[in-house]
Amino acid sequence: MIFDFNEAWTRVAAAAPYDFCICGTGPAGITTARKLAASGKRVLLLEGGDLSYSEESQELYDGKSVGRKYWHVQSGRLRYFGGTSNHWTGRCGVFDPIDFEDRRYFGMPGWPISREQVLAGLDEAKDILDIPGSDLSPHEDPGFRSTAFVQSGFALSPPTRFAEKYEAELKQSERIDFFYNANLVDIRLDSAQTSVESLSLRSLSGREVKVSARRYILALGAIETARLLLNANKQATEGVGNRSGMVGRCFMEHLNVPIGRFVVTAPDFFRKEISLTPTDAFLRQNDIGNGIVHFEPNSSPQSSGRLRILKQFLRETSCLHPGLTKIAREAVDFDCPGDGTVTSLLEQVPNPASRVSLSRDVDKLGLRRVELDWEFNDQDKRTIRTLAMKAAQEMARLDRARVQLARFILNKDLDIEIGGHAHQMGTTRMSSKPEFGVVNENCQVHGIGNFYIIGSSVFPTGGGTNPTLTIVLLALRLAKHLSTE
Amino acid sequence: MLRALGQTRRSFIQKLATAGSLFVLGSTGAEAETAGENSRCCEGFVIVHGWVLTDKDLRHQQEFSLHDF
Repeated sequence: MIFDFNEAWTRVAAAAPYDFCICGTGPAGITTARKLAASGKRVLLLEGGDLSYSEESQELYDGKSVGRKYWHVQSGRLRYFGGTSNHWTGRCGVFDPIDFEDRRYFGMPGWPISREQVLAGLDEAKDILDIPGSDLSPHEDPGFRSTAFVQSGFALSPPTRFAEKYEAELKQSERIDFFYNANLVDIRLDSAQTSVESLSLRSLSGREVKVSARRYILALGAIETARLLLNANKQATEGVGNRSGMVGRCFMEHLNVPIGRFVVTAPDFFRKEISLTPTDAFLRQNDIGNGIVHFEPNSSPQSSGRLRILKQFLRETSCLHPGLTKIAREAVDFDCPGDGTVTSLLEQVPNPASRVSLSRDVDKLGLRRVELDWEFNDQDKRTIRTLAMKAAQEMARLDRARVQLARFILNKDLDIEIGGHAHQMGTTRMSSKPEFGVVNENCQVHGIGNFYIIGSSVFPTGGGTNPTLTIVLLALRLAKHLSTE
Repeated sequence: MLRALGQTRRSFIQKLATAGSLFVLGSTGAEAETAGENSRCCEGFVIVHGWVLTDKDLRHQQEFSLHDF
């Protein structure tokens, strides 16, 4: 059943008891709710935003970026039904075996669970993301024999919009009560602070109510989950789940670095985008992070390639001078696999100095806004420069292309141009030890027995591929764990 | 067209290789190393104006030059 909290706000408390209360309706929240309901559990599903986008709701995500400029504090996520699935691009990949190894050079422990444990629900996750049967394995390309790189494996989801796909199911569900416009504003613990007693919800019009369930799950994304935990500081001044001070720390992105440009020497090889991912052996040998180096050819007259203007000219003049048509068409219709740009999606190491904290500004709900200090360190710079240089060398060695590297790749005195991919991860990282993380192997908040977090915020490391598939896999794993308890 | 494109790109690389040969041989003295943009970065490779070339690219250029001139 679906309810507007603004109209049915009394009903949310009256309908208790629920087995689970889940906050957030992105891929993590909806997947967990559906799976728990399918196992017979009663679920209260809450969304702070509306059924569709509104400026008033989205504005609550506004915050400050200090340190490295981060453009996606507000725009990188969406605050309404379906969450960030409403604007993701659909690229799905699985983490590599090395991503689950304890890499000492990262300075923090890695995943406390195995790749096999994470991938256990892969077929079901593929169905959810509408990529059934896709082969996601990285693969060797006969045209690119390299010990350092293989072709990155991935599949493209349509992309699945969770709200569109599951609205009817939620409407008809007898086990899920879904309230939108229900903003989480506080988390109340028992006197021993070892379990959650209730959540406080507030509408933008000021309606407020407390809700209770046997267990609680936050699925709000890496920035908002940390913000809510830090704001819930009435009983514990450091915030909920933050005894070791790890809430908000190790904020990670996939580094988006414009590595350079290339010219092809083997045009047949570049009929499509080439995505290279480093081999595990190369990563071990160099002690660097994972990632993908993209070679994107400027492939059409409409592209931004340097032949664009010439092609446009030929196309237009061919109409005035029919004798030129044949020649011009040959040039204009030619699908140029020529010059292109080299971009990247690179893993950032978990760095406690890179963090989400609270600013002094307060939003309409009375919660302190987020302050994001995105930092990267020398290890990240080494990852960027090593992968960029090696990719350029391999392209030259195999005579597929020649790469001109950006000046900041070659000159270590220059600041590297780094952007993000709006892949926000790691602020409530998973660790078997509380001093290195916020949740344990089962996504339970350390020290709080009935409180769980799901989503990319629990990633201990970010891997070298897009995060949504792994978010869904972890949600399936959590739901399976909780449904058998 | 593909062949033409490949040839165009190869002559571009040959031009780079000319500069690279001069740099590596040090014959002009004009190609000072500027922050790695012209350097012998590692075994088998040389960087010319930021372009990563193989030694083979340079050797081909030298052969080309001897033959041509």
